[in-house]
Amino acid sequence: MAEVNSRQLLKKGAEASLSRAERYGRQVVIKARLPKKYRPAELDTSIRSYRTVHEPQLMNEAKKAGVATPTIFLVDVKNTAVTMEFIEGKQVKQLLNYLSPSEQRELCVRVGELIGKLHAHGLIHGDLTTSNMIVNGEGKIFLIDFGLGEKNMELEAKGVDLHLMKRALQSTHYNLAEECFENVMKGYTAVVGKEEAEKVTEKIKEIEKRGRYITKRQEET
Amino acid sequence: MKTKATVRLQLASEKQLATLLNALAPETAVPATKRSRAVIEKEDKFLILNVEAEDTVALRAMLNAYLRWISSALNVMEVIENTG
Amino acid sequence: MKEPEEAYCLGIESTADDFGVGISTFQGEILANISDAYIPEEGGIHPREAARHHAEVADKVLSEALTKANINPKTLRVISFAQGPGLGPCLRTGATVARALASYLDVPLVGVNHSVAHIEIGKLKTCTRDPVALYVSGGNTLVAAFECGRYRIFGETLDIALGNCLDVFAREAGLRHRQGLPLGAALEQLATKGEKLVSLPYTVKGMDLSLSGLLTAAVTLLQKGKHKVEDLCYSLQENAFSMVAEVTERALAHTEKKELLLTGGVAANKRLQTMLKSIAEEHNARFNVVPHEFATDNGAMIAWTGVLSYTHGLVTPVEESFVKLRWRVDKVDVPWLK
Repeated sequence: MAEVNSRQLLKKGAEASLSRAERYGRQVVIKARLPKKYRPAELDTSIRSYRTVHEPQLMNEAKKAGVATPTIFLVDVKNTAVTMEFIEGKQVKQLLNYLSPSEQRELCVRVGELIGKLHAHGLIHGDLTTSNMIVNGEGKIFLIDFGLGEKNMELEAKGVDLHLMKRALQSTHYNLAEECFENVMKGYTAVVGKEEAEKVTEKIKEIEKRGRYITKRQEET
Repeated sequence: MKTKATVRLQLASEKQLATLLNALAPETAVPATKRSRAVIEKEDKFLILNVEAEDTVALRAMLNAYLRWISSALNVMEVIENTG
Repeated sequence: MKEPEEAYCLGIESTADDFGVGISTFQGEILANISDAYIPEEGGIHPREAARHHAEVADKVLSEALTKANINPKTLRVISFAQGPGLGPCLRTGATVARALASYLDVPLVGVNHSVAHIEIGKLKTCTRDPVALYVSGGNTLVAAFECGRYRIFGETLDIALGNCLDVFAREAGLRHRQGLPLGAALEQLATKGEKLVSLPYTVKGMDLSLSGLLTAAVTLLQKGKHKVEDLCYSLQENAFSMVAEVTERALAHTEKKELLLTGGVAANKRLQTMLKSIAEEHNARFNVVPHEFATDNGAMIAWTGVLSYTHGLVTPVEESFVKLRWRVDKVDVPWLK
């Protein structure tokens, strides 16, 4: 097939390889989850199939929640590959460090609003990083990479989701992390309301305290 | 019930005493628990350890911890003197 | 001024169940590395009991280390100690001993981050320069890499540590800690006899992972008794290690570093090594494992990190040498790296 030959590899990530191609007269991205040799084949197949099926479902749900995501064209479970709309734009990760402080603030607030919309609809992204947010030519933000996401209304899940956002900011935008996250929370609060936002903030604090030897941690001296 | 204990330890040298005071100072400054607290002072050749606690269980735990620290600090000083 | 050859740092490790004393030259030659482990009779580590153990063995371990290194303690240039993260009572005991030594010998004291030390000893012993480091032990599970002045965390557990997960399951399965055969090693032996992969939770969340759900599910299945214990050990390991491997691969792809270092107590596990080696190959990275002697908590790593810190101007005034129970690796400046 001529189309197959026109595939152009965009990125070989840890989880999947992304290729750009033309399908049905449009620019598309083919996200193929490749087998991982390090884990048992059974486990590997089940993880890849699950994510392949799950991701498009969540992306459609996200649209209903008012969060832009690439449109899904084809889900190929057998080859654990998803064909979706190609979004022409830049990752928030690429943009963030080059924006003026006020533009940074605005972008982070908008990101927070999107997360708020997801959570308000019981959707957990599962991998909130600045690489998974694309701003197109008109300034619209698209969220991608829902492979680790889930449908979940629980406070715990929301807290972890935002905690991961914070951690991602800390590891890639260490100098801006604190302020960026504050602004994300501002946008989040605007959508979910003050009461809910406070509950989630408390949860994030609790999550941060977890770690080493939880059960025995309280004992001292 | 508030409980209190005082331990007076006579040290062999000024150096030992000064070392113990240094070694324990940060622990008395930032106690591990609110249930008890310790103060360490120097009086001539004596180290005075004052412990106050909410109850006897907490008192015993704190006393044990400090006495153990004092003992291991003295023991390692002895190792230094006896090696090399 | 060049440091004379006989400059030594003595390091004290006591963050959890091991009390260790190590001695390193300023050039990174490890002259002594002596440890004494607290082994609980029943159940997991009890911080206060472990701390008592540490206080009791401190002088013996110190004496052995000095004898092994064959140096006069009065020639020590600096004393370092693991200031955190770790268990409060254990940390305080090590800190008190370290302060006593520094004060008695009248030499500077350096507080060292235990996690940084695990990475640094791994780098020293495997001649690695700028790796993605996976540090896995009973108390810690993290993926870190150097970026802009500090080790940044690119993945970590959201709840329990990998070693803790394996140990708890091993104990539930009736395995016991014996001298020379840690629980993890006993579990690994059983796992090699497993054949059937039992379905268990696999929880990767963004850059992080969660192990408590996996542990609970595995323990529940064990108690039901429908599966062979070997199969459960095998399945637990495969799931847990695959999760750890996935977040490690992600960090490797993200940072594009060309070295992968496995360090910490769980690094000795052959199956984990195989998985990570496979990932390193996939990303054209050199794979290294910390030597066994330096894998579990040890004083040598604290001594060597003490050297790095001290020679780059870091000292900890005794009066400010409070222990830090939750000292994260990304809060520590590492001026010896550029």
